[in-house]
Amino acid sequence: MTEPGSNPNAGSSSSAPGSLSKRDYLVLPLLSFLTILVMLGVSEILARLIWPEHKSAACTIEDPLGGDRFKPNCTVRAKIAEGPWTTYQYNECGYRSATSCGPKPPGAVRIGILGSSMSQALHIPYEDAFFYLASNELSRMCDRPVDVQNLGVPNSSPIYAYRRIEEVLALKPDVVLYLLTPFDIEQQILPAELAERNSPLRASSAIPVKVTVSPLNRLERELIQSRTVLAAQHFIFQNKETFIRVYMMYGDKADFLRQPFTPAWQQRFANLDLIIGDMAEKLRAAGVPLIIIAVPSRIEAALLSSRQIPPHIDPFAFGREIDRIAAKHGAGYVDLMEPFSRIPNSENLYYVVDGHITADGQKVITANLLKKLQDGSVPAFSHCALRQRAERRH
Amino acid sequence: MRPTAARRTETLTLGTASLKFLAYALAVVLVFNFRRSVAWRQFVLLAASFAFLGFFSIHVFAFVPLAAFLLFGFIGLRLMQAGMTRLYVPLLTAGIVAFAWLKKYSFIPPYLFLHHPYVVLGLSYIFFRVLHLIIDARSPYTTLPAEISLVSYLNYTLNFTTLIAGPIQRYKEFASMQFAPVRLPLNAVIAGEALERIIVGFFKVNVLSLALSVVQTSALSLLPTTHTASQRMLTAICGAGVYPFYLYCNFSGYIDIVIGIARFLRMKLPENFNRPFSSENYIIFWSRWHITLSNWLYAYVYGPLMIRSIRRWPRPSVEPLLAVCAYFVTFFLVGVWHGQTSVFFFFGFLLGLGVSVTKLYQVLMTRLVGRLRYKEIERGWLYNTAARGLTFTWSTFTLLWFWSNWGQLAFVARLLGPGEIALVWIAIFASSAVFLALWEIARLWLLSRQFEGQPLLSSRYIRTVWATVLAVVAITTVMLLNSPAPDIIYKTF
Repeated sequence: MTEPGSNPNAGSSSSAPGSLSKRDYLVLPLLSFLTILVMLGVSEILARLIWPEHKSAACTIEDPLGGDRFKPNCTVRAKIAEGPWTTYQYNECGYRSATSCGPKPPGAVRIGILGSSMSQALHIPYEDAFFYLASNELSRMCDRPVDVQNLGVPNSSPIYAYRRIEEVLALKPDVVLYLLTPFDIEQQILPAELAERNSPLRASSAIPVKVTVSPLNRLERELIQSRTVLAAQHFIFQNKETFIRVYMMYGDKADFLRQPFTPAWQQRFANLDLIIGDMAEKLRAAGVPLIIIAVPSRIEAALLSSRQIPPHIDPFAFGREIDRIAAKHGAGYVDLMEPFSRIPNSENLYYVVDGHITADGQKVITANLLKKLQDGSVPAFSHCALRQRAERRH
Repeated sequence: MRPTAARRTETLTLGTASLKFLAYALAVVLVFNFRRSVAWRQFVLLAASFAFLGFFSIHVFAFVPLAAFLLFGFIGLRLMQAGMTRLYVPLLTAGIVAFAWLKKYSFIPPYLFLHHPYVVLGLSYIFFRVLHLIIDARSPYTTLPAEISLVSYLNYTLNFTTLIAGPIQRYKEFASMQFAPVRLPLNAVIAGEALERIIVGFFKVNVLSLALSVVQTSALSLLPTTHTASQRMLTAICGAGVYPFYLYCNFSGYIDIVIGIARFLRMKLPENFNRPFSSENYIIFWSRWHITLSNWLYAYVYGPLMIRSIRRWPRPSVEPLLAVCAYFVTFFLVGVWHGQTSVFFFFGFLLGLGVSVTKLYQVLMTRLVGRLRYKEIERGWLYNTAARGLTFTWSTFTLLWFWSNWGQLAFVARLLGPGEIALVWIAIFASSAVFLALWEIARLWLLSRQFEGQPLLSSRYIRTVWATVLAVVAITTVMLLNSPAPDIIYKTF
C-alpha cells in the first residue's frame, strides 16, 4: 500500500483507442473462425486416437416380444472409449453364456438372469462379469456345476423382462435373478401397455413418426457426442462434487433421489410393483425363487459415499423401494446400497461418462450376491452354505 | 425447502460469470448505447441494476433492509452536504453498526437479528461507497458535487457491474464518465479489447478457478485417507498452496468480466489486481491485490489514523513506528470486513501482523544498513526470489482462516502434527519461490520476443487466436457443466 494501485500492466481496454485497418475487419474474424476449426479438428483427432471406440450392433435383433435380443451363436467385439475391448459371445439361444441353453446338465444348478445392460455386464469381459465370477465361486463352494443363462439385454424395460418369464422358465432354472437400476424404470410405461402386459404383442399399425431435428440441434448433438467432449466429461465428472451438482440439475430424471417421491416416480414404482408381482407369481407357481438386485447408478454411488448429502436427497430411497416391492411379493432382495456406501468414492467403480459398472464394481456385486445365495432362501444353494460352514470348522 | 422451490431459486440466481449474466449484460449494453443522452444512460443503468437485484429474490420484502441502508446513506450524505457535521460521528457509527447487524456479525447477540430472509447482496461494497460519500461530503476539500440526486446516488451505489464484488470506484470517477455530456468513445479496437478482457475473465473463473478448486477440494477430501507422511504432506501442500491461485483466478476473473462489460457501457472501472504473486513483500502484495479496497482503506483509515497519530506524537523518530501501528489497524479491519465470525478476526490479525511486521522490518533495515544499501539488497535476484516465496507463503497461511474454520484447522493440525506442519510450510515456501521465479523469467522472455517493434504477444493477431482458444475452452466447459450430467448410455448397441 505504499503507492496506491496504479496498474501499468492490466487494463488493455483503457489503452489509447486506435483503429483497425480494413483488412483486419476481415482477417481477425477469419482468424478466429479458423482457430475454432483447428481446435475442434485437432482435439477430436487426438481424442479419437487416445480413446478409440468401436460400436457394433451386429448381434442385435428385434424381439417380437417388444425389445431387443441377440442372434444365436453370434460373437462380436466392441469397445467404448472408457473401457477395454470386450468380446460378447452368445450361445445358441442368444444368451451371454459360455454354456449351452439346452437341458440342464445332471447335477448342475442353473441360474437365469433377466434385466438390462447391468445384467448383461455391458462393457465387461466375460471373465470379469459378476455372473461368471459368481458361478465359478458357487461351483467351487457347492462342489457341483453352476450354469448361468444370461438373458440380459441393454435397454430392457421391466415389461419386456416380464414377457420373457416363460422363456426363462423353459430353461428350468433353480433361481432367477433380476437386476434393476433407476434407469431401467425411468421410461414411463403407458397404461395400455401395462394393461396388455399378458396379451401377445400386436404388430403396430401406426405410421412411424418422422422426427425432424433442426440443423442447430443436430450440431449440438454431434458436439455433445464428440470424442473431445467425452474426454472432457470423463475428466470433469471424476470429481464427485461436480458430478453431484450437475446431475442434480435434472428434474424428473433425478427425482428418484429426492424425497418424498414425486407423483411420476410413485407411478413408476406402482407399475413396477404390478410387474414384479406378476413375475413373482409365475415363478412361484413354477417353484423358482426370484431374487431382485437393485444396482445403484453412478450418481447414487457418488451420493452414498459422500460425506455431504444435499437436503431432501436420499440415495438409499431407490433401493429401499425395490426392497419393499420384493418383500411384498415374496422375492429375495440383494442390497447393494449399503455395501457401496461403505466403499470410499464408490462412484469410481463406474465408467465416468458411460455410467456402467466396471470390473471392480462387478466384484462388489458378486460378493453380495454370493452372500444372499448362501442365506438359505434358495434351496438349490442351501447345502453350499452348510458345506462352507463345515469346511471352515475343519 | 422443497426441491421444486429450490429449483425455482436456482433459476432466479444470475451468477456473475455465467453465460446468462453475459447475455443479460449484452442486452443492457445494446439498450444503453441506443441513445446518447445522460438521462437515458442514467435510466438504463438504474433499471438494469434494479433488474439485476431482482434476480436474487422474488420477494419484495427481502429487499427492505437493503433499501433502508441505502436510504440511510442518502440521508447521511444530504445531511453532510447541508453542513450538519455534528452528526458526522453518530452517522458513521450508525452506518458501521447497521452494516454489522445486517451482515449478522457473530459478536452481536443473535436475538437482535432480523429473522426473515433478506438480500444483502452487494451490501459490503455499498457500505464502502456510502461511507465514502458521507466522509467526503463532510470534508471542506470535497470533490463531490454540491448536490447528488437520488437517481445518481442509486446509480453509483447499485451499479450492477460493481455491485457484487467491486471494484470500489469513487463517486467523482464514476460521475465523470456516467454523467458526462460526451460519452467515452467505443470503437472497434476498444470493443475488441473489452471483449478480450471478458473472455479472459470468463476463462479464469469458469476453467482455471474451477480446475484449481477441484484440485483443492479433492486434496482436502483425500487428506484423511492418506497413509504415509509424504502422501499426507503432499496432499496438505496441494490443499493449502492451490487456494491463493484459485482465489486469484476467481476474483480477478470476475473483475476482468465486469471491467470489460463496463467499457461497453462507456465506463472505465478501476483495476483491482496487478500480478500480486510477483510481489516481493506483503505491503506490495496488498497494493496489487484487491487494489481498490486497499486504496479505500489507505484513504479513509490509514491516512486519517496517521495524521491524528502524528499530531498527537509529532516526533519524526516515532513516525515509522506509528506507520507500523496504523498498518496493523488498517489491515485488521480488512480481515474483519471479510466475514462475520471469530475466524475473520484472526484473519484480520494475521493480515495486520503481516503488513506491520513488513513495515517494521523495512524501518529496522533502513536504520541498520542505510536506505541505499537496503535498496541494493532488495534488488538482489536471490533476495527477490526468497521474498516472493515468503510473501506467497504468508498470504497462503493467512488464507487458511479465510476458507476454513477452527474445527477444520484443528482436525488438519491433529492429522499432521507439528513436524509435518513445519515441513509443509517449508515446502510451500521453497516451491513457490522457485515456481514464481521461473514464472517471472518466462514472462520476461515472452515479452522480449518482438515482432515489428512490439512484443509478439501483444500482436492483435496472436491475441485474437489466444482469446478464441480461451473462449472455446471456457464455453465448452460451461456448457458441459450446465448440461445434464452423463447417465447410462448405450453407445455400443
